[in-house]
Amino acid sequence: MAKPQKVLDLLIIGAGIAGLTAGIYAARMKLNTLILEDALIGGQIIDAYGIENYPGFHSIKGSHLIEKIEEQALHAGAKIDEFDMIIAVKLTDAEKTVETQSTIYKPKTVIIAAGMDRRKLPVVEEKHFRGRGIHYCELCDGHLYQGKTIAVVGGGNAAVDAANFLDKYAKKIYIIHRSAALTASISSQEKLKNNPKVEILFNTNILKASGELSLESILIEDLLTKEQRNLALDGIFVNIGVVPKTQLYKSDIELDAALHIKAGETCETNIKGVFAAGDIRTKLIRQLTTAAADGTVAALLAEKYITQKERGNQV
Amino acid sequence: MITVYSIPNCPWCHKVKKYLELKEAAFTEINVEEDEEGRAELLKLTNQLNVPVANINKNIVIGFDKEKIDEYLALK
Repeated sequence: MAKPQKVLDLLIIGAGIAGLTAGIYAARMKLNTLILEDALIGGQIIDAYGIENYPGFHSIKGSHLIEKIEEQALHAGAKIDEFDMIIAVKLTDAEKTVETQSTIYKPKTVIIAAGMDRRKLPVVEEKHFRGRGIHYCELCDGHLYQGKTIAVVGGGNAAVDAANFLDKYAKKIYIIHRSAALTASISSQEKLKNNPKVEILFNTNILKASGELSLESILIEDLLTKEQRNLALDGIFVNIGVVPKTQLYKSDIELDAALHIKAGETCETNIKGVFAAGDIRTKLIRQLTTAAADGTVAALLAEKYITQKERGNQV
Repeated sequence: MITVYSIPNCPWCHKVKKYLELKEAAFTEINVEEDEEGRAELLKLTNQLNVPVANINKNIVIGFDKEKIDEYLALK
């Protein structure tokens, strides 16, 4: 049976801060708006433990902030589908087609706010041990390591916050970081450094993961001395940055060298009526507040694009 | 009969439960962080302790896998 086709004013791809904010604005402007999310509503911040730089809150958990914004978008009239997956995209100035597992969407405008994916641990054994010692979600998998020895890989906020969270389970936590200093916020670093369970291995790279059924050890290298040694542990939580989710769009949309969508402050891409918002676009500062700002700009300009097109003006 | 093995605050566990609710599929939830018997049951069933796990009429789905959930819900 052929898939049903649906015409929309605006299709928003991604339900993180940028996508949900765009949804709020678009729905309030009475655009027929659908937000598609193939992973988790909220995106990267869903597992943030305490957000202290989003206006309106001294401190709020990422999941709570997202609940509020999602509720606001739904209340405004946006629709969210988090159970359908995009399988093909064709975006031109004249026509936009987004095919999901269930539907072929023909939106007048598209906002791509798909965000970023966690970067995978770059060892060949990663796939073999994923879920069996190598993990990317401490909220989901931290409980597996009650009384065990683990490592958190990375040195930014996500890594240090993950280590602070995993403290309630693990008996020993290594922080493995390629550089000579952590880049996480000072308050998170202080909490970490006061924890006697934590040992930080700076200038250290992971070369290999080993084990029978599950991870048992890793081979690490000191990048300064080139000395290599085995480190026995039970699990690793990887927080080594993110990569933009632009694979689906690369044939139609111009990307920069780091694979972000090329778009400036207006969020306009090289395709008319297609906007990029949030972390996925080329930008200097990636914060929740700048993602929300992008969602705002993209939705307002999407509405303007539709209005001008309907009036027969050149856009 | 459907059982979901999960832990609190796990976003993917939440997504599995939300999808089963959308499909109007009644399920029993076991919090393996607190329920030791449930934890042992999960280990025996799947030989691992990652969550979420859905046991849909003895068909096991590890993680959120919509296609598998749909397939197993259709087998009645």
